[in-house]
Amino acid sequence: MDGYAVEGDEVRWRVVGLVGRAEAVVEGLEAGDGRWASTAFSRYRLCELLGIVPYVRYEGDVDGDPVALLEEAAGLVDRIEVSIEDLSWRLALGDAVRTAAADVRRVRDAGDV
Amino acid sequence: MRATYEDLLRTARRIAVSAQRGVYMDQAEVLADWDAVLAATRNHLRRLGVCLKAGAVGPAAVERSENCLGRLAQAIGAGADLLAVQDSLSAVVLSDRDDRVAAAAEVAAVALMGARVVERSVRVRVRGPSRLRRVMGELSEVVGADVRGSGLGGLGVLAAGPALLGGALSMVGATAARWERAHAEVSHEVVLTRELRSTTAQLRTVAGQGWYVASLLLSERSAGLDLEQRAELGALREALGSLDGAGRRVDADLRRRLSDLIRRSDSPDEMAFLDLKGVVDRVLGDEHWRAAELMDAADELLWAAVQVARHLERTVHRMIWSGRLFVPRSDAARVELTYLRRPTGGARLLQPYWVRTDRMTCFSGVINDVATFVDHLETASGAARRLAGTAAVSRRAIEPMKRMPARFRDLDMSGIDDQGWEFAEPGR
Repeated sequence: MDGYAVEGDEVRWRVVGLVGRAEAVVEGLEAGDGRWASTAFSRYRLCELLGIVPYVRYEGDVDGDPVALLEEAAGLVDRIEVSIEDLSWRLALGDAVRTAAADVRRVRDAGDV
Repeated sequence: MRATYEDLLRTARRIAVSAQRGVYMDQAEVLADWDAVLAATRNHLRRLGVCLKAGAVGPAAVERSENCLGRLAQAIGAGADLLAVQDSLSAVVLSDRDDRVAAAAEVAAVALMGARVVERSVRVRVRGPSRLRRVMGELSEVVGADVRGSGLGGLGVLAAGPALLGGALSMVGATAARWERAHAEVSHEVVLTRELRSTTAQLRTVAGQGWYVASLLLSERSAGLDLEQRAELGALREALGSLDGAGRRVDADLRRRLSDLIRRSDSPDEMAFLDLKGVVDRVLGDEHWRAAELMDAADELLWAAVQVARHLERTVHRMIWSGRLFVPRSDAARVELTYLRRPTGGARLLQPYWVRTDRMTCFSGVINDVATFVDHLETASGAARRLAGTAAVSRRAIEPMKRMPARFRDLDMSGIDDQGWEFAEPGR
């Protein structure tokens, strides 16, 4: 999973920032709403692939639409420069971002079922 | 796209039609091709329960040309192969007699078209054509046996690989069981905190999906539920709601407890869970659901989840017992002041952030939260079982720990002082 192959890869850090922020937003939302539970695994997988560990507190803005944030990240994933060995990591990451965005969107749009 | 049995038969028919348009000069080649077609047809019909009597000669000719007749043998053979690779689950459709007769008629009709080409092309009446006539007569009988004339039925949708005969719903049970087994195989000795967090996230996702099913059924007036079922669904939803609170607490606890940081792990359970999640998402995305089927799916899902949660609880207990779950030093210091500083002293920066401890007080939070989590999940699964009518059915719980790390054994066979370590099981 060593996506750290390219030092100073700005796109990668932008993706990490976007996903971290979306994660913080959803964590804030899920505190009072059981529906968000169904997004738990896709969010976990995404954070794990990006190396976002939950041991440190997120310091940054906690607002915005998580779906929009994740979709912006999904658009950036293919622009992360990786070595040939890490291509599978990038593929998995792209899949994880899109799945997480789809799951979050489903919950957001579900309304009161 | 998956090529179905119907596609293959249609391809064979198309090749036969184009074979009829061709002119073939080399008679020996035509006869060799016909032998191949006949062998493939015989093989194919045998799989459909029809036995050709005429012209049974030795092994099939291996040589066939690249013109249309030769390719016809290939197409008929491909259909037979597709029937041969079906697993027991999808082979059920082969037990429908009418469908089998229809398929045999189609194969025979295609072979008959090939036979007419041979009859036309081979002028010298050698031994071949008279045998050919007998085969043609038999093939015509097989064609005539299909009186229904309404296509292949269930046979037509057969394809190579796992078939989705009953739609995604029938896959829920199987994939849930696979997920459950993938967890059971992992021994607590190789588990890292990230896997504990992964399992918690998986269980929370399952609970969220169960919650969605319950809400969907409750909100739909046309679901045709009686009062008792609605009450049961309400209980299920309530249990899953409080389960999520417990799940979040477990998740938060695991952020404050750590196992090994260094080793990376392969996680077959995550792969199995991704499969399961895909199947369940397909089920939930389907608009033509039936209440009974959704309840069945929820039951399977939650039963598997309970098994996985029990395994998680056991794993956490064993990790604590064997001292493999570390605690932040600040937390440990709250219980026992000596953890604030290592006896050896030293600069503050050199003090480790995570410490190892055997004081149970440090873990009471984790243990309680995991126990609450499992309790809620069991309540939810109980409600789902009563809804699906499987409450009285005995079910096998998973047997934990199939895969153990190899034990080490010290060998002392010679005078050599240090032989190093050797695996106890030579096979590993």
